[in-house]
Amino acid sequence: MIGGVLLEIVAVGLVVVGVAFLLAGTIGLVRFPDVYTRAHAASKCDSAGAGSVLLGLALHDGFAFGDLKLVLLAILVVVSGPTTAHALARAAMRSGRRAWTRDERGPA
Amino acid sequence: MRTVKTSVALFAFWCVVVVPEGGVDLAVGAGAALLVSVWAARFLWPHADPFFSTLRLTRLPGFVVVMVARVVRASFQVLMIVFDPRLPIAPEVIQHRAHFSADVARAAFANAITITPGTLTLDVEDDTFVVHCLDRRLADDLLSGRLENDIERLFHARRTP
Repeated sequence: MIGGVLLEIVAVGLVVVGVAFLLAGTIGLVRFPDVYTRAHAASKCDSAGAGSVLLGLALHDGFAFGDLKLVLLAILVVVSGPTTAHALARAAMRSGRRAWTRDERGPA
Repeated sequence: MRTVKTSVALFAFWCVVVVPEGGVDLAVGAGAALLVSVWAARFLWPHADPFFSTLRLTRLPGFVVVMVARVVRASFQVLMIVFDPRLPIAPEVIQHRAHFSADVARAAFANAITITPGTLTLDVEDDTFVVHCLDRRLADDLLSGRLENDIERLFHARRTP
């Protein structure tokens, strides 16, 4: 019984932390000045956020064999997120977009 | 041998996705895994066997733990920056040289750079990694060579520069 409650707390905690990261990533997407810095926000926060939410869901109601699917999904998200961010940033660089720098235009 | 390894991996994947109940499921999964790997093994790993060396498998959990810690730290940094009204960033593009002989190690390194705090891989040309930093002070994992050493330990594929 105590174990169940503890598991519930850990699971909900993971989901809450994940949502906080996803929120930060989304706000970063809006606030950051250029495509590269936005890719930073999207790649890191989305990987950690989605991974954390998925792990929380897997732990919720106890960990069963079928929950390995969620773990697999978390791995997929964590691997594909940075890859996509890299592909986007690379495409931006190849098309000649310059990176925003602080001294150039002053604070955002 | 390559076919056997591939079918073992595919069968494990099948078990995770399908969650087999009973012998029929298992038999269908095993048959499908074998059929697919007979067809696909030769172009999935054209030059070498799939790498499940025991050394790598024993080092993998530690590596995963370290990487998860880094991802969480990276996200937390972005979170702190994003909620700071001054938006304290000073982006910079740096070139980093690292030597790996295996393509998979270079790809893993490029991805690891992206996922660790403050850095994002823009391009890879041979041994030069073009990296965008959110702030130079946040890029210590890369600049100190710690990340490189972790990947090298996992893949054992760094040649002497």
